[in-house]
Amino acid sequence: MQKKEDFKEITSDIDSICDNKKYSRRDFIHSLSATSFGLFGMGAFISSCGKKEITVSSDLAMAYCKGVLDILKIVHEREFPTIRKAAALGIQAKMQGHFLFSKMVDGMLPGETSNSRPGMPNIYRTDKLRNAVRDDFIVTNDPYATHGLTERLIKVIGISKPSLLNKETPPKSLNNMGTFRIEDVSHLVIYTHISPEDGIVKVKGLEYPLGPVSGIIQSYVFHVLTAEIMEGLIKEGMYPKIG
Amino acid sequence: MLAEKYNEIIEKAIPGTLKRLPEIKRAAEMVAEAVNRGKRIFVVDRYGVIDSEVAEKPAGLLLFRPLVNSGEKLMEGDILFLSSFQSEDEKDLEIVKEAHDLGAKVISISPDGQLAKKSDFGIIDLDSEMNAVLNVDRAELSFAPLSGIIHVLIIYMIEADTVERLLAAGKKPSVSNAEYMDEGATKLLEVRKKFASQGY
Repeated sequence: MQKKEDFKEITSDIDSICDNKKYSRRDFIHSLSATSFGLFGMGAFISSCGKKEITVSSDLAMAYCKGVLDILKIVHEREFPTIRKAAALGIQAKMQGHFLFSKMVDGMLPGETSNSRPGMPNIYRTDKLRNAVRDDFIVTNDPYATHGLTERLIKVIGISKPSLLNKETPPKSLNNMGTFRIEDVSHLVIYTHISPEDGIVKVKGLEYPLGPVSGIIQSYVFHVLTAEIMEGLIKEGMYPKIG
Repeated sequence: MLAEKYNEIIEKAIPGTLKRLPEIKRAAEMVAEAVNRGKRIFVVDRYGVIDSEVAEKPAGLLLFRPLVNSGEKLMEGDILFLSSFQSEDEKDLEIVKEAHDLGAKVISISPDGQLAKKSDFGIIDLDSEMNAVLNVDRAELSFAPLSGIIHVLIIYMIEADTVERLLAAGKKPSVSNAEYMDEGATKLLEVRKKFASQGY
């Protein structure tokens, strides 16, 4: 079992994880790979831990945590300009008396983005999405929810993993994703930079990667967008109710 | 600026969970022990954030399943993960009591307080209040929640550590796959069957 001193070693690694390094796409792919090799590919990582007497059992949890942070930094670096543009549309819509809607589906997202969630500003309507009219604003990760709304000149902001193929995308992985992609129905797409499998830690002996990140990253994007909209509304003298 | 501030806070909070590694490892150990005894693992929270997240999530373990709407009942020796954004909520404390009455063990993820003390094992989420990490002058309440993200992170770190323990014991856990991947629906059925037969 792990000794108490070993945990000090682990927590001392936090600083290196928290560094302010700027990440490029190459770094992103490297970081995904690094956290994805699991017991097989993390040989160097594990052997470096061996010197500090960190048992292997702490590594997957740590690799997952580090992998989440790496993706989050990529989203921060690459998507914040789009998030600001999206927020400007939201603020403009609200100031002109239009509704802001949200429709976030899958996993933690409906609960996490609900108006009854403690700490959640009540700026979005989560019901009657089909009643949205011209110049209303919708933020969603579900392309089907907004089918036909773009044609009604509603501002749709999509939050999604990229559906563009690249070398990280497994063959045929997009065949079953449906007729619509979020890009087909959105004015702006905020990408989450998540692999199609969702998991980020590959483990020898397991067929699928472990450790889903889509819920965490999409929630992060949603809260960042909401914070940006809130700031704009407050500047204009509007103080929305908070759940 | 507020978005940047939120980002700054979360970039500190995520690696901050590594301070909870000893507790995360202990929770995973309890899970592995329960699996060895043929017991089940459930997850519950009153806002439907964490338990919805673990329900057959691609890349998640089928072993961790939501209790609400499952049609299943806690039994002696089962483990219930209880995620709460508050430390003293009466309804959460009631859940702990009812789980104990049924002979189940409760591992709570919450701020420090009564809930952590009454549970069999408590993981304190972080040191500060995370339900609302941003505030501005004249706004009545703070906003921008962080606790949901941190609780999900902790659950998946526990899952990751559990996998290592199960593999070390010669047990290959069932990991859910994305249905939209190539032959995903067929493979997901196979994973479900495997989970139903082996229990983990």
